[in-house]
Amino acid sequence: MKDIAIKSENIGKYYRLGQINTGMFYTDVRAHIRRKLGKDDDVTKIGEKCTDNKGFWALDDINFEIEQGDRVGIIGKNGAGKSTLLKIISQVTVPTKGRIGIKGNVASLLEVGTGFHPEMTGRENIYLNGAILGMKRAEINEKIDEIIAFSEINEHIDTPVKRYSSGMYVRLAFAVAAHLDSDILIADEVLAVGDATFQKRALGKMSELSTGRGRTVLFVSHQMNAVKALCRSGMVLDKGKIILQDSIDNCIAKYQSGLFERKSVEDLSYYDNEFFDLLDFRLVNEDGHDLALPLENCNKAYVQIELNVKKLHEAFVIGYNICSTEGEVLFWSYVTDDYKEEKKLSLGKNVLRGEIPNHFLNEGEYIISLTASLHYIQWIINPDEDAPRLKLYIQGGLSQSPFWTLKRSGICAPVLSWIVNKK
Amino acid sequence: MKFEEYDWDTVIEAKKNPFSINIKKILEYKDLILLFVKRDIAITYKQTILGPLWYLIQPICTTLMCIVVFQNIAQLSTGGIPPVLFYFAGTVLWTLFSKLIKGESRVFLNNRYIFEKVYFPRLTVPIAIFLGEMNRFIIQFILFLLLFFLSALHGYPCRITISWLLLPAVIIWISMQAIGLGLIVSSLTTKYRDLSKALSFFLSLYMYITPVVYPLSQVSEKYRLLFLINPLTQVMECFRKICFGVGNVSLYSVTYSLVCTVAFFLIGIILFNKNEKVFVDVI
Repeated sequence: MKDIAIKSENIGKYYRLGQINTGMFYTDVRAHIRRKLGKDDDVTKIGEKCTDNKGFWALDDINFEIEQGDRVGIIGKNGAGKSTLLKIISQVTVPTKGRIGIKGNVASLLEVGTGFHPEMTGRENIYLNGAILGMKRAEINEKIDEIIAFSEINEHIDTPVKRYSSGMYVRLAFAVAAHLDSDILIADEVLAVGDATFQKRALGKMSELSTGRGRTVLFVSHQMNAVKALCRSGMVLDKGKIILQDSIDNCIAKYQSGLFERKSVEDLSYYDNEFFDLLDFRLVNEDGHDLALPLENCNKAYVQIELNVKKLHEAFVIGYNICSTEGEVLFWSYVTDDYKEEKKLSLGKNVLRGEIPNHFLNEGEYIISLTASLHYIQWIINPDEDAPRLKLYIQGGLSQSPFWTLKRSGICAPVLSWIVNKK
Repeated sequence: MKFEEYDWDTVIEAKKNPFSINIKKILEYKDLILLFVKRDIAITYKQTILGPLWYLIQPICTTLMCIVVFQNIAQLSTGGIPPVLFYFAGTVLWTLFSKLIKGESRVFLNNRYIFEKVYFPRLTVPIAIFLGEMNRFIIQFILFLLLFFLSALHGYPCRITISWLLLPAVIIWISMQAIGLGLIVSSLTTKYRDLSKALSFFLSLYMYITPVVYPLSQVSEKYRLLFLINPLTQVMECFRKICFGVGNVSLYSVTYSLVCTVAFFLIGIILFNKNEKVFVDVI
């Protein structure tokens, strides 16, 4: 039997909802004394009990053992308790009950670039950030050239980081984190940084880190392909409980099946917000009827969004994102992409229909998530979180050619035109 | 195997003893402490023209101002001590006290983004703040020594005596008081933000009931008690007694102040320890 690196026993974390106190010292003290005396505390509303029953268990009775050298992906919807669990293991917050034993030293990356100070140079920040993450000065001295090289900052390393572009900033931050030396590595979504090329490099570095020298890795991410690439086993959390502990493939499958409980129209009211009520979200065919699945690739599909706009905002965008079942995003599409004056939304009911061209996607299963936001201001419906989702299943109808009847590899399967000149 | 049978390096539990301080762990992070000190010093003077010269400009200007206001306009006596030395010493000590309190009181507020993301012994931050203030104090104290010798050259009866060996003790005394009070405030500010605002207001009032710009001997009998309740009074008087041989020091008051200091310090550390684990969920 392998050694155990982390063992969790009955871990629970309770959060009180609403105001923890009134925020005023005097009222708190008075309320506390009155509670002690058994009187109404005149802070709690009438009818509510004074005992703290307004709360929820963000984690409830979590038990697990992680073997040394195992790489565990923790997956689950937002609010399932993943981050809380990592925070407890990283000792940023304490559990309400239970205990965890850890063998070896822990490096936790709940964020990259923690403690970066904009006024300080890249080099100074490497030292500071490294020390915050638990590195010794000598250790950083040893690795600094490697870190600088990995970050590709080179000649700007002695410039204050406030003058860095956001890409440089993130690369430097990740570079420091990537050179941490520890028995146990805890990482939360840190890969969701930088541009696509850097993400790839970061992912490569992460797997290099985690496979080398039998390090134990706990990894939380919404990017299923990243989780899959990095982890060997998995843990699915839902509403603060572990619902599955298994190989990573089984865990991802379980997690994704949980995403597609089709929301009925009544359910869609869950997404009502100050800008619009979502009335309908479905796939339809050219005639506006429900799309029959599987869809033949020679036919078009339309994503139909019906909404009752209550408030207009100039930065408001709505659309969908489509990804593979592995979680890789193929593309995003917003109504506003097709930018025309007459296509602007107006108050009241709007029915939007976005075309997914025929002979475009390959055969296979796709997930379409509704996306709405005030562009670069705030999310209204975040596709990575609890967004309404549709499943698109394409099979057959690839082309009329007798030489293309079976699925070819690739994300797209377009039938492109060819010019054939005959002499 | 049972939980207890393992040889854990770390055990995370719901309850933590607020009295336990893991000194070994803090020492492991001594590089971090030094980097925090360096950061705090560096960022204060980045993009300033005069840079660390401000360490000296501030007390010099305050001293000159005090001479004008308290000596020439208000005509307060300095108890026979050269006014420059008297006001400079008072300013430097008061700066140490007030900056330390203010710095420590913002430990949680200023570092919450770091504390939310990474674990390291939280006491490293107050220690770093203390060291940073010590750095300022030592620089200012060197200037004080210069002034002291200059005054001696001009015939003031100033000389360094054996009792100067007690000065470090006085500095530790005033620092512990400030750190203790600062940490108490810092733990409370995680819940009650207005405390940090109230603090600067309170400090400006506090200066007036502390013999900073005048000696205790100038205070009339009627108000003496108010000053003796203030645990900072004896620190200031002791400092002057040691440096200039003039000061109202009594064993009784010194003991009282020391007891207060130790109490503030312990309460501060205990509250801080209690708070460091839960504040992430509160702030």
